[in-house]
Amino acid sequence: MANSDQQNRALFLERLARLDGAVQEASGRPDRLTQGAIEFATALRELLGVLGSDFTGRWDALSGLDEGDRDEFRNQLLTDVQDAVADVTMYYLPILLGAQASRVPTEYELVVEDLLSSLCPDWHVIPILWGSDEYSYATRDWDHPVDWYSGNENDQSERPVFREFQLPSIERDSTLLHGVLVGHEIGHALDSFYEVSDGLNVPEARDVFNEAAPEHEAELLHSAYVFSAAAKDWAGEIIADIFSGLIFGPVALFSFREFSERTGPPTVDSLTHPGSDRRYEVICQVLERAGFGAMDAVAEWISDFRSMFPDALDRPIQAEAVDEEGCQMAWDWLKPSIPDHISRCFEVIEDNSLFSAERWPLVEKLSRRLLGGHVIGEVYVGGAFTFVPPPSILNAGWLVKANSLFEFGQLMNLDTSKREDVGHIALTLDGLIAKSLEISFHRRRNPWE
Amino acid sequence: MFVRRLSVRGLSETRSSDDLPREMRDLSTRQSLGRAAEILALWRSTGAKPEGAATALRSAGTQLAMPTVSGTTAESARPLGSYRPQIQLLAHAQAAFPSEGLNRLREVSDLLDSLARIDPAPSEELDSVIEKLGQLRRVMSGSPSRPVERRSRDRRR
Repeated sequence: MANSDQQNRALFLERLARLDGAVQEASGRPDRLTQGAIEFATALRELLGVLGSDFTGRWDALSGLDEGDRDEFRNQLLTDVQDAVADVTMYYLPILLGAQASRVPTEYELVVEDLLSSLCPDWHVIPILWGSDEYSYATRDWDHPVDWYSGNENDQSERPVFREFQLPSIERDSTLLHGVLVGHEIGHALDSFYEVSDGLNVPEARDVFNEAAPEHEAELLHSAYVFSAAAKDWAGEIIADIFSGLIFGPVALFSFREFSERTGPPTVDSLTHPGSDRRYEVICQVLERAGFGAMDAVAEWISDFRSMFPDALDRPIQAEAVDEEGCQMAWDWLKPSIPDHISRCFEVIEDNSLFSAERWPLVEKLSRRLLGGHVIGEVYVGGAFTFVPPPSILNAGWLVKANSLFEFGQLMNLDTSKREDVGHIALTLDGLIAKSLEISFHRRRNPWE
Repeated sequence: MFVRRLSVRGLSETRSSDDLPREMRDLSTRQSLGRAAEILALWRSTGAKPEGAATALRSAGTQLAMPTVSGTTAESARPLGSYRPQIQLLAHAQAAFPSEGLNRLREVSDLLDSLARIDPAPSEELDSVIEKLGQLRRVMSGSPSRPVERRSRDRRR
């Protein structure tokens, strides 16, 4: 009979094999997966291979120790690799399983990929779009799983890195709502790439907290963390909003408002996010800088927002379950610098990627085509068809949704005042936009000769 | 100071979208410390420095390096978020070495770095570092009194 050491070893290797089987099965239908997820599955299988060989190599090497040491170190090793497997199951596997076509609008990953490659040249990051059960949008950089396990610094590795874009899978078909994804979340990616918020500095902890060092150094570190955590997270959110407004124009405001109203009151600040009212105001300022103040329809929307939230930037902190004093300090530090952040973001984005007011006439034209029931992925310009960029498609969709949903419903012989009809109308509009994005991507990759 | 009212647990629950999840960061550090401890134990047992020891020890030493808030630093400002990964480690160090967590952490980091460079190693130094790495690892795995207790079963129930 095998001793318990050998049993533990065998049990772990069996678990690893089963996990590998699960990853293989999830990636066995590449036609139902996003491209990012296919690459991610390959990376996960590589990690599982490394985990197995690292475990067996170290386990065998420890046989050279005396019995007491050997058992202790083997136990620790087993704990570590089992926890690594647990982390794979908890954090990596949901991404892979959520990247199935049934949970995510796969055409959006192409939009994200195109935007990242055009806005962030030479950034070798693989985007993965996945649908989560959580009702939230999020993005996060992931080192290659093998580099995470091996503790390799990112810049020392040749392996690709990934960037997940998480969306609520229950909203899979809400194409216009995903303007939040391509706007704000890509804004986070741009912030990472251009290091806008990472390049900011906070005052030295000892100056902020007026505490003598070095006796209280550990406490100072703790204090510095709280202040810098709120300041960094809020700066990151504001900068992502600025990028979103710069690249997507009014969509940034509309899609964010629709999403944020579903998730909580707009005038409450959390430790990770400033209140939505503050963020609406920042996006309004960006739109004005991009020339939308002169566009009647958009100027009216901006004015409506300001009348609803007149003191968005100046109101005191209303923090939910966090320390208000600390958040107020962070906001007082961040608020005066917002105009500079807007300027900085304008500087790093090429002019031809900015969604400025000059593009609005095309948006209005596209919205009229939508109202005629047409897809708008390509337009006839100068004697040839050419693709329509995703920001223009999304803005046209939102223009119809905000101003002409009733008219769009009439086209379908449906009535926006009826609950059962309005969902159907919105879904149809979302479907037209999704198809338009797909056509736009296809035409961009395959221009007419 | 407002921060005194916040617990370490409360802090850990904040999430920045760009941050590695806490468990994953901890595990990466713990793995690195584990490899270093294994290497030191093999070194102690055989008397010969194992292959790859310098890289592994240096890597573990880097994982434990902490920024200096006070004292000699000349800068008047610090990049945003530069404390975030270290604060988790600081909390673990304070639990592992209650009276002088931060200083002990820096001491272990320095020792790992110097062990990476020397050969042969003084045996008492190896004993001391192995013991301290063990203390830290036990805290990081959530079971300071029982080294082999599984941390993740409860966490993921």
